[in-house]
Amino acid sequence: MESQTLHWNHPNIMGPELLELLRTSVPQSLGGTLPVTATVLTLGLYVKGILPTDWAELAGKISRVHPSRVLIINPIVNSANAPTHVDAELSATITYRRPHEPPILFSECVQMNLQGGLANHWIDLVQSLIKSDLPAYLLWLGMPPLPGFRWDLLSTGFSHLVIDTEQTGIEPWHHVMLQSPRLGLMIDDLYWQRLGLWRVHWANVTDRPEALAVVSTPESISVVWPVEKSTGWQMLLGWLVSRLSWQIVDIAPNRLLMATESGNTIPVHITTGADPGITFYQGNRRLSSQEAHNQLTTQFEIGSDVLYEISDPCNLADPVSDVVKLLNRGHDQLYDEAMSALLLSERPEQ
Amino acid sequence: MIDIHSTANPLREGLVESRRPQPFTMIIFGAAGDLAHRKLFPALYNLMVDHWLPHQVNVVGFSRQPFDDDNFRKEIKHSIEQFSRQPLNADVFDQFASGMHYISANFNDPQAYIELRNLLTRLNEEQHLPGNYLFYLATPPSFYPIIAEHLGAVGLNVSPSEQGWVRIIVEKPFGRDLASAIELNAQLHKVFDETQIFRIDHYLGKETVQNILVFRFANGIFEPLWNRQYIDHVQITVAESLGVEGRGTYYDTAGALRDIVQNHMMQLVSLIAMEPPVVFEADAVRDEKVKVLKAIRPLSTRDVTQFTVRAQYDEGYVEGSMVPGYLDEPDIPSDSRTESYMAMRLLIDNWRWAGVPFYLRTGKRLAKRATEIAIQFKKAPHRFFNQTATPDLEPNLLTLKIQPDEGIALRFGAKVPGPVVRIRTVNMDFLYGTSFADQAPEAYERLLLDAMIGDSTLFTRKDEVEAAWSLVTTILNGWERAKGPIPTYEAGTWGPPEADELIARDGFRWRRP
Repeated sequence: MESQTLHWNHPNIMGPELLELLRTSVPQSLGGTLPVTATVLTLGLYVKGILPTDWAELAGKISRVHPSRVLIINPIVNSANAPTHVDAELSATITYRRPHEPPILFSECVQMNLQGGLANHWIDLVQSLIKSDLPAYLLWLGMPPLPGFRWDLLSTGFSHLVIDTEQTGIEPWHHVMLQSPRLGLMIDDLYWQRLGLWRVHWANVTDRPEALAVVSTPESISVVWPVEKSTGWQMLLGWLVSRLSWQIVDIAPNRLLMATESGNTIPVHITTGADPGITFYQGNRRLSSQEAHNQLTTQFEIGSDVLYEISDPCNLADPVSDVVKLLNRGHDQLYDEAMSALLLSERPEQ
Repeated sequence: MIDIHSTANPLREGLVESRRPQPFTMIIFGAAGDLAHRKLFPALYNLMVDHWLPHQVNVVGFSRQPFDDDNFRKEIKHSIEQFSRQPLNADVFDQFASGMHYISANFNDPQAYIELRNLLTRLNEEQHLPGNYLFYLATPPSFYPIIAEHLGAVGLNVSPSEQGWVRIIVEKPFGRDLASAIELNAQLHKVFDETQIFRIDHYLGKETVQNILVFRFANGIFEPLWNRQYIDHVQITVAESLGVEGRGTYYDTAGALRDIVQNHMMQLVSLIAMEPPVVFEADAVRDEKVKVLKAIRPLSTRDVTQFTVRAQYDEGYVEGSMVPGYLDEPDIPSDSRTESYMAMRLLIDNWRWAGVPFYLRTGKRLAKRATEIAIQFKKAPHRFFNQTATPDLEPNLLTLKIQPDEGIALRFGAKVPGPVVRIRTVNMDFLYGTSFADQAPEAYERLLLDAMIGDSTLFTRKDEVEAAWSLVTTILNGWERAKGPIPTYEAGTWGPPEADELIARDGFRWRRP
């Protein structure tokens, strides 16, 4: 299929003009022909305070590979006193299946630099740009908003909030996570998705009964994890807690105490290190998993004998593939269960 | 409390990748052949890239070509480089190749099966494997009973361990007629029970074919209309623009009826016409499919003359190029009576479909390549707009496009803008390819994974095969008795005039895909 991408720049316009331009720009460029629309979802990118180098390529690539309306929401910092307007850049990717057939509007990308009142009240404008009756994801790049943010307003337009706790940690999102069931807002986490390799790897390892026995009834667990990404081990253990019907007795950034259903406690020792690793101990048995050199490797040992070693290659991180995979797979119920286990158990730091 | 001795792994529940087979060894008979190279090895490799395979997978190639293990690995690497939908990744391939072995032998050689058994035993011991074997017969069908018998003779039809499994995948064609299908099934059943036999029809692995069930049973709006009250008739087209393409020797022994109708088209008919199964499980789904096949009204010899058409293509232009007629193709005898085209009308005698004709047509060297199912709905009961100029208003048509341009289209009437009421037919189009950014797996990937897991939903059961052959054999017998000349059609057209007459007798016409 042939394709072409059309671009328009519209500085200093108001919201209604933007809506009209979005409706008319493509047909006008195609000589009055109305294209068939392939769009299956809306993807918002909230990029306040983030350099374009960190999101422009992502937005461009996603709109080239996924049939979507991509909305780049960029409230300009410290512009609250400026006149309210939008500096907009529009692009549309048109594909042509065959001669004599109508062109297909594959995707649209709308970059909005929001000034003045719109920098604060951007939801009001963005809501009118969301494709109706289709899934709408808001990918929040960077730090979450301050308390008091109107998640209730946001959730009337967006059905999914996509966060990346590898960058931000979990804590800043607690508030919205606790509200999300009431708001009908599903939260998807790119870090959770990247950790999918660990979950699949452990599922494969524990297909062996002796490995499952150690993982499901350990006497203790030790965690080595990069300090700035501690969300990773927390989410993995949250997943184990929800899958194995454990309970979290105490949790803090550097310690964790869990209990099995039968009441046995499992202390978790946490230390920092460059290569993430988690080890389960049960008597003289040890199951240790470590991610290093693009391999996730698990060793099962009895005493000093290594019974077996299983490795999986790590997929190299690619932000576009991460997002596209998430859009295609949709919401992961396991994430809700793991987060619920963590959130319900969290204790304030002493 | 977690029962660690149960087979269910709580860490697998809920994972997208929950459908992961246990460690196993796959033995491919005919491993040096075209099917293995074009489809099986690339499919296995892609499953490994996408993390669907367990860590311990061994592949044993069994074929007559004189390879050793290293040559065999090189051949497979070449296949993947040529035919895989995902590029070759050296790390993944090394992992894949580390489990490859090859036995160079004749399929008739009893000693080779002992060698195979010894190899499998050694792999089980060295790798602590549970003795799960997946045999794949990618050989000419004449070898199926021979290979099965030899496997049984050396005890490879059962797993050496209590928890292990043994399955065998058999490629189509499953017989040449009802008698040979029954005989083949009986030969396989001497060695394997039905739960071990996976008869593969790659059509069922296609995303768009599986989507028929999703479309019907996951959407609330269509199923209430899916019956004789609202549906006027159904047309199923499997059209190819290609000719026999170097497969003349095989094709002339098969023809369109055996090659396409008995398997692919009967699968499409049963998926379109089946009742919703009680659960989405292998036997529940296949029970409903078999009921459809059994409800197809049998054809008498006279019916065969009246309700079926066969034809051969004559020379003509396809996509602008002159092509020879069927009888002038290489390896086709000049007196061949094999059909390159067939069309038929069938009726399904059950509550849902009584009186709704199903028209099937398939052929080579037709105007274009298209596989589609068109459901034509009845006209609006009252011609409300009778007084206006709307003579060409067509009834609603729902088209399930299997290939190419996979998707779904709904045809309906819309008012032409203007001060008078004029209605024109328009199409609402859903394109499968543009709606999902993910690359769809190949049909063989899906079906191999299902066989590894033991899910036979998308494989054909014995009674299903025999029910389809029962209908097809009646037609074959009817044609055998008819001695007149076989109609022809110009290559690059939509088939012979006789096919147009077949459908026109009921007041319909073939749609143009």
